[in-house]
Amino acid sequence: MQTALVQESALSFRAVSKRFGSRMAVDRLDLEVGRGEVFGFLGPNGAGKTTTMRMALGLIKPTSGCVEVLGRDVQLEGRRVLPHVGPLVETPALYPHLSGRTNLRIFGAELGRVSAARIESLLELTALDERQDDRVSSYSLGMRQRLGLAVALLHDPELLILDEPANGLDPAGIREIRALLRQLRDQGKTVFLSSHVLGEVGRVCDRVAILRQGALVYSGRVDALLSEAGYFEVKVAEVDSALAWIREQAWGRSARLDKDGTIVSPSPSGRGRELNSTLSAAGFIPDAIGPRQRDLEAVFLELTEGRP
Amino acid sequence: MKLRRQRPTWVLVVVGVLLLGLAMLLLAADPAVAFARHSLWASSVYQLLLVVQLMFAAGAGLILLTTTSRLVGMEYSFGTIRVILARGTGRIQLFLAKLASALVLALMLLIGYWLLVALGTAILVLHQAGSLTPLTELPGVVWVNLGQALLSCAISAGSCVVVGVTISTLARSVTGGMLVSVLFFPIDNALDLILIQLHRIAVPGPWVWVSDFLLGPSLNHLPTLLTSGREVSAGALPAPILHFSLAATLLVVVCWLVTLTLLAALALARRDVLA
Ligand SMILES: Nc1ncnc2c1ncn2[C@@H]1O[C@H](COP(=O)(O)OP(=O)(O)OP(=O)(O)O)[C@@H](O)[C@H]1O
Ligand SMILES: [Mg+2]
Repeated sequence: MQTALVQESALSFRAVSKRFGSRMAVDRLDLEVGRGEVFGFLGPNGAGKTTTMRMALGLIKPTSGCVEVLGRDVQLEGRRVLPHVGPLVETPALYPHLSGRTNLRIFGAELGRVSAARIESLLELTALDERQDDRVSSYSLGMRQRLGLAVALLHDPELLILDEPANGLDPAGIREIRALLRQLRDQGKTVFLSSHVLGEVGRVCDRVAILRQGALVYSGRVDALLSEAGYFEVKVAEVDSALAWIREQAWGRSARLDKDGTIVSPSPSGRGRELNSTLSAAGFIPDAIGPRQRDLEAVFLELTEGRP
Repeated sequence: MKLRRQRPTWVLVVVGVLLLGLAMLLLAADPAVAFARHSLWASSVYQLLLVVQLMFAAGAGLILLTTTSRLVGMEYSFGTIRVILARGTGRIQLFLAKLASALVLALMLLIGYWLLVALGTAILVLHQAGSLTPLTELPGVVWVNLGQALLSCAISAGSCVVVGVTISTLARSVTGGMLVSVLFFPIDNALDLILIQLHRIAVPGPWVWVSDFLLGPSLNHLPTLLTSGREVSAGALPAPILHFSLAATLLVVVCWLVTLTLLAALALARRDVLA
């Protein structure tokens, strides 16, 4: 199912499982994120996204399997590779009694000094420059989220691991994040970000993985997920007789009726124009024919709610 | 640092200084501490030392325990430990850094406290004797004992730091860490008192030994041992029943601290960070 070229991988999970008591939070996860990719990690609440990200950051130890970050096992060599990773796990962790700027300074000092200019530009990037000297406890959720992102970006990391970065942001903020992610990709950074809304990340991600109850249910390109390869949507006046006719054909047995009254049908040749001409010849002149596009949310719900 | 802008830190310091000032005033009124009468100078100093030391044990102990557990616990309570660790700071490295900054804190407290005490004493002597000569005429052994008392204060302070840091690392929160580490010494002192009572009514048993292996009572008894019996620490605090030697008592203290440190470091290194 992996369509994109995976060159050297920035992040790879090899049969990673995590068990909390009797509950499998993550179940034999295999995943590769290539360098320079923006990779979406999706799943409903409790799917295991945060748990997976914590394992990638060496915060929790997998019950089995191993996670490689920038080519090295994070459990063994975390101290070497993690300084090149920008983490944002769940709600951003900040010192509430200190100002935004001081927070950046303190986190910067943990890994060697960060220049005042860098802090300045991050505050500007995250649109916090006006509130930089206020205590973080007086920030709104979205502002904390932005500051958390600034902390993740402090050391200009190779790889960003962002757990629901859009959480709590207003529409403008979400747009800004998207722009930021594109900008990071253009700089050659790798971004691994989670979300429970496919629509939110579908537009910026090269590939996505979808998790359900700890198990991978899809991994691959977003457009491949959305188009049902080989199927077409046909709008036609005489729906019932057209569908019956198509089903009688050797190539058309799997045709079906969609909820909104369009016919979903394969084509004799795999291309739309033959389907058009065949139907016309049979007397069913299509009003419109187009490749089958599935609704983002519908696909997501189908994948994450369906029975295992 | 991170604690500097937290209100409780400053409240503690101010309250501590006020309490010390109050104690000095009370001591000034105490007839036992009378520098005016020549013959009593030395004993006045010991009286003073006794009170000052008790205050340090209780006051500084409390300050250090709460402050160090806040120092460590806040990283868990704010969740910032996950950011620190996720960016490649080693767990043991983090633990040692916390321990080091807590020790610096203890050192600052120790120096600050004794400077204030020295200042207070100087004022007291000036007020009562009109000059500082009584102090310069003290016998040499008093100064030696003073040094020993200082040493035992330093050991107590260091122990408080280790207890505070390790317990809050194990507890993984500000409230939990603070609660347990503040209760640590009252509990082992209370246990000692119970053992002493049992011993007194002559209930036999090997558990009387336990008393000598408790951390709090060992620390209580340390000044007496260090000054070899000088009354710097009267029986105000529960002491071990059997009275180990100085070396053995120090060994008990060191064993406690090493065990706690290893336990906490191991726990931090191995456990999942879910904060
Ligand atoms: N510390 C823990 N102890 C026990 N179970 C846990 C723990 N942390 C997570 N879990 C369980 O692991 C599963 C996955 O949780 P996780 O937080 O990874 O989900 P998520 O995908 O991040 O969800 P959300 O979208 O709500 O953030 C859940 O069933 C959760 O109950
Ligand atoms: Mg989550």
